[in-house]
Amino acid sequence: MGSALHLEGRHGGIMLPWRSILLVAVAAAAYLVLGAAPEGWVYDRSAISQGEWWRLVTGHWVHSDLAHAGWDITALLVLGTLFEVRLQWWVPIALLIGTLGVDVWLWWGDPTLYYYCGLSGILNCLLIIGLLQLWLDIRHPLVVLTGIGAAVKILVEINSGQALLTQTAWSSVPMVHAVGFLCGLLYILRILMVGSSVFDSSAPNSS
Amino acid sequence: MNRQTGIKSIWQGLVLVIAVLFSGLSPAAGLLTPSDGSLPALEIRDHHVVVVIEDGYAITTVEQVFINPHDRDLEAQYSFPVPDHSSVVELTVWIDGKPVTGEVLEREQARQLYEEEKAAGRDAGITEKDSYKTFETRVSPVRARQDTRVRLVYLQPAQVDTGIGRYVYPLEEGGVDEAKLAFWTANEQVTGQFSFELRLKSAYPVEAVRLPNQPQAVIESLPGGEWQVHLGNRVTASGSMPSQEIQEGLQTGTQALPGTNTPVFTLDQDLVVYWRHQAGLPGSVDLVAHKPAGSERGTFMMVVTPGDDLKPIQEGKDWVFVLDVSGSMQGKYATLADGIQRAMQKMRLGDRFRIVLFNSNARELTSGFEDATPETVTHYSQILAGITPGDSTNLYDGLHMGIQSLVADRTSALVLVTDGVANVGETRQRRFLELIKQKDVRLFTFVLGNSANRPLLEVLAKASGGFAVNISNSDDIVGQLLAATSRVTHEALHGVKIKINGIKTADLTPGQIGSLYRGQQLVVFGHYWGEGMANVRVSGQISGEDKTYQTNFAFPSVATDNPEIERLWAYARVEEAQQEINNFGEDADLKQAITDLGVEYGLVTDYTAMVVVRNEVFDAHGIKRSNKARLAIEDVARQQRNQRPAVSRRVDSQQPMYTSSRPSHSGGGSLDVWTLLLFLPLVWLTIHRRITGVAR
Repeated sequence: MGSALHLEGRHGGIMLPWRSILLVAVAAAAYLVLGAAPEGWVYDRSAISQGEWWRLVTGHWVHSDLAHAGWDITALLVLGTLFEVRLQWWVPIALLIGTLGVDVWLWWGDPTLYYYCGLSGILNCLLIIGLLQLWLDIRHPLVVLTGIGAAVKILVEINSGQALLTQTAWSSVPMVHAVGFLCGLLYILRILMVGSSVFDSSAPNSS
Repeated sequence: MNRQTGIKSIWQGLVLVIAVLFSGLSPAAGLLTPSDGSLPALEIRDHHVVVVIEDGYAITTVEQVFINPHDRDLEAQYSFPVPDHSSVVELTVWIDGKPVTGEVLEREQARQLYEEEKAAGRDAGITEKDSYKTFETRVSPVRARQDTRVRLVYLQPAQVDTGIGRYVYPLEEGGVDEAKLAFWTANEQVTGQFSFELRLKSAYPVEAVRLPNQPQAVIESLPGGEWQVHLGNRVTASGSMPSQEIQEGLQTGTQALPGTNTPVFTLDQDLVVYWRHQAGLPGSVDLVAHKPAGSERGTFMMVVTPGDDLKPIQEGKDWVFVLDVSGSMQGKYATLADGIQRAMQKMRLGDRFRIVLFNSNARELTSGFEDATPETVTHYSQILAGITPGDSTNLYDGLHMGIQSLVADRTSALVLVTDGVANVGETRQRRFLELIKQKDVRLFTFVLGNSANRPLLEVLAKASGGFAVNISNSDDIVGQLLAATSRVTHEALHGVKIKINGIKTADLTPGQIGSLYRGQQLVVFGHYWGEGMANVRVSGQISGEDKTYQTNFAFPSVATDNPEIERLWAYARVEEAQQEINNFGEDADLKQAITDLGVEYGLVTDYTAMVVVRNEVFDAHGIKRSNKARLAIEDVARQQRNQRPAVSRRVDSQQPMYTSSRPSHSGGGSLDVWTLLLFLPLVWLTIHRRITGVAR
């Protein structure tokens, strides 16, 4: 797959991952301005059933406390920096795919979870799609090892029922990580079935 | 989808079933007038409700003004549904412009006194309890072309389930007492001011407060752990004029009176308030006590909020759905059938189900247990859709058939959905109890509306080790049922016992605790003597294995903040005694015990009533003003509590009873340092390739 994504910009300078920086700014601002778990923004099953559908999106961009926000936003920054030069518009698109998948799971897969917030579920989708792009570009074994490591970590979390080292105000839901991860895998399957030019042909403004 | 998810899905489908059961309108709380038109109707001019929830219980004060627009004196009769586990503790009638509080007497004595005063044309009032259905307040006379002011106060425990508290101000009448409905017409319109104020004070952080179906409610978070809710048709809590929308009468339950700009509030919908505690709070033990200085004996309310250590259930179950298709379900049935169809579609292969329907008789819709295949689901959906509901409610027959259908070697659960009262066939509570004990099955009961026989259904569920869920029409029904879901899909602590050593205690209520499901709190009332450290153990069995939780804390030598605890303890005892009577028939000793508790603690029960007469009449009859004195003490304590922020009642901070945090319905996707460590090789790779100039 030749995505024509280079680290350098058109004129040879360093290309800033501006889309990711913008998304990081949005998530950080949401926490700084709205505070922890803002009532009108979190995923709230009852409110969504009463028409407050925006929570399906906004719930992923707000956090329950500083540690929750800190880890998730840092991970978004790292992943964005690593992958945006290759994925470009596929960064937000991957996050949207993850949003769709995690929401589907929250709604139908775990009806006892009334409230949810946090980026990590959809970040796992970005991680897998980013790893695929990286693998297709450089075919380095570290990429595969990272994917395997992420999968093992998720399995350990699911088994223990909590995040390994983080204690957040809202208890951890490891299944959302698995769902985000699977969303990425499903998308990869689609790419493999359609052909490796998917990123090139679909991504807008792939320079 | 695994089995556990399958079970969850069944419940999710049931949500749909029950959500549609509430489509019909029911009669409401209000002033009653004979339906034959023999007496003209009075009006409710003002209706003000103030609710204070603090320290684990709710105090509801309802102040009303009745108007008599006619040319002759009339009696006002106000009826409202009995709120959960509550008793009226104050009836105040304004006589000659001054408030006179009532006293509790044995019921017949109170009635006689009221009737004498009424016949003599003197001011009087009485509040009685019509079993589990309604509180009835009569005031006489409401003089011609004048108004009468009346205040009612009731107390009830305020529990939190899986991190979510719930308060219901019940207004809807369930519509199952046909004789009463035929006799009376209820005027449920408030022509003047209506307001509903709720103040919630909690030392445990509350993240949000919500009133489903009341989007116009004004909800404020105040400093000191306090939340305030206002709903009204005139002015806001702060005294300012309401928003334009409210002035225009756009709020639920209001309409404009013809020819006026006054919004009318109709008392036909329950008001439900939820509050959500911060997720991740620790499992805890809270103690609220009352022990006046110099008193040997104190009264306590202990609230145990378990940590989340009940694991999800992995094994499958047989499900038997026992569904009420009596006449009261008419108009709801089509959607009920649709909901059942959706529920069955959510079942996974390998799960089995039976459907039992009951009205005057019970019949099984299925032919034994059916595997949940697409074919069987389609088949029974079509049959369900063709059934027409009607006739009476033979609950016993329905339960009997459901229980008899169970298979011994499979884990089974029986789900009963009903909105009514057993009115044909076997109706004795004792027989129901015997029936439910015939098989080892958990009964989960969904009790719809305010007039269903909640005491019976709660006793049955408790006896089976299951639970009953009361659901209001105004509830977030989906949320309520999903809360039940989380309980059913997890292990439970069965055979719960509580032991308090190191200090003398007695009169613990409930005597038999039963089971504790995930998210449920254990509330125990009792008396204690002396003061000092006590060891408290809560024990039971989880999946057949013994489990004990314990902590040590001190009972206070003096505690005067919460005198209402005495009444709450007394009413819990009354409920237990009443349950015994319901189970085994009326017993003179139990009846006397209820009467004595009612009179001593000022509680309206099945055997006591609260009567208001002129002060001189109280004196003339030698009636002690013990309730008046009790109310004065409670009023002082209430004012002191009002002036300070929420106080923590947690007593196990030093030695927590639970190591895990409370279960909640909140969750967050959170990454951690391991995730970032995983990215390090990629970072190294990227930097390395840039430094070495490797393309891409």
